Amino acid sequence: MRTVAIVLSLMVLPTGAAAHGSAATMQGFYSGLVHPLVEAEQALSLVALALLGAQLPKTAHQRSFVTLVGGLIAGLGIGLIAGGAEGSEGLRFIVLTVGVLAGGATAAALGSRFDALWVLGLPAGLGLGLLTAPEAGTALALAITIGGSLLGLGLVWVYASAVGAWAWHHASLKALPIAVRVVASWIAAICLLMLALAFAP
Amino acid sequence: MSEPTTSPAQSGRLLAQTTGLVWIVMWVAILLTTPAFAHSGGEGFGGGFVSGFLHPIFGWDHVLAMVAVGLWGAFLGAPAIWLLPVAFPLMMAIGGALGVLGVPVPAVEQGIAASSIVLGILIALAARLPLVVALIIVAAFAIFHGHAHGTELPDATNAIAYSIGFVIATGLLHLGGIVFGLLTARPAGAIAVRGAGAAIAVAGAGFLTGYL
Repeated sequence: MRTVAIVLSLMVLPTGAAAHGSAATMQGFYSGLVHPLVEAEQALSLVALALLGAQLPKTAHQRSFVTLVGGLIAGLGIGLIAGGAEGSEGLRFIVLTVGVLAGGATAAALGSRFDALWVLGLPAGLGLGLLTAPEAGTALALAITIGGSLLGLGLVWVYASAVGAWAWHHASLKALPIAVRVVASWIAAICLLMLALAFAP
Repeated sequence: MSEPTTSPAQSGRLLAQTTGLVWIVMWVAILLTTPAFAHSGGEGFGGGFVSGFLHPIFGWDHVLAMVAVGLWGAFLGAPAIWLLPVAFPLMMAIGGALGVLGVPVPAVEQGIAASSIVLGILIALAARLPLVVALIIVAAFAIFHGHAHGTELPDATNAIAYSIGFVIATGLLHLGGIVFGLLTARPAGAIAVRGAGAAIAVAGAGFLTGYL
């Protein structure tokens, strides 16, 4: 319930601000909204993290989301102060490593055995926040873009996590939890290959 | 070694579930890749994706090994039928990463050919090895396959798209093998699957000796 309230708040706040903004600020909002969807490594890592969250017990699942959002806000804040870090190889390394670890843990069904895996939300949130932090603009434009980014990242996580949790805990079809593990193993494999390619000599 | 114990009713349920799983995984794959297409402007990403997707499909040594993993999983039954295709891409990616990073792995081509021979023989004999042993065998061969692909990855049109297409194609080949392998519940189907295993082993010998 608390998760739903947080997500609804994120959905309402930036939309209201965008409704009174100019075309440029709206563009910033949509740019922030779709950013996690159009960057393959960010989208894959986020989905892997969400699927891992779906395997975790309820409390750890909630902690995973809160930690991710906390990391995102911290990352966005640091990015704003430091001037943004889009394209940073170090941050790509962190985000992809989270994708490998979260995907691999989900594929091995470790989420139901190790509650502490929720901590992966923190490095993921920090990395994604720093990578999506806007570099320049007015305070209003920055706030709207950040709102869009938070909404986009939150929606990807919530949708993927909800589908994963339904498949893992509630679906009557036994193949669905296996499908979650298969998809997670693919994501981990892709992230690992991306990681190697990004740092190939 | 023993005959498969899956009943026709169980096989039917497994087949229905597997077909559903194939659709689910394909939709997820499409959903996962579409945003990246949008970002990359189409041709570059599309070219890399298609190149990666077709690479394992047009390499017979890889196709036979991937399908063999699914076939053997079907003979082993649950949970191996699902765990082998979960483990293979992960280990293949580790091998791929080693290849990309230039870490040498000895006898890669021989290992790939041996994977067809060994898996083909295990299918032909309907060998039901312990799950841990099966995982170790499949994981070891996956490293060879991954390394071979990894050395080719940097030359791809779009390396990230290539990786995504490659992993998805590999997974779908496993699923194809699993669906075919579910025929083992019927006597004639079991003979067909074991025959396919023998053919895979012979083809592997052909790869090893250079005749294929």
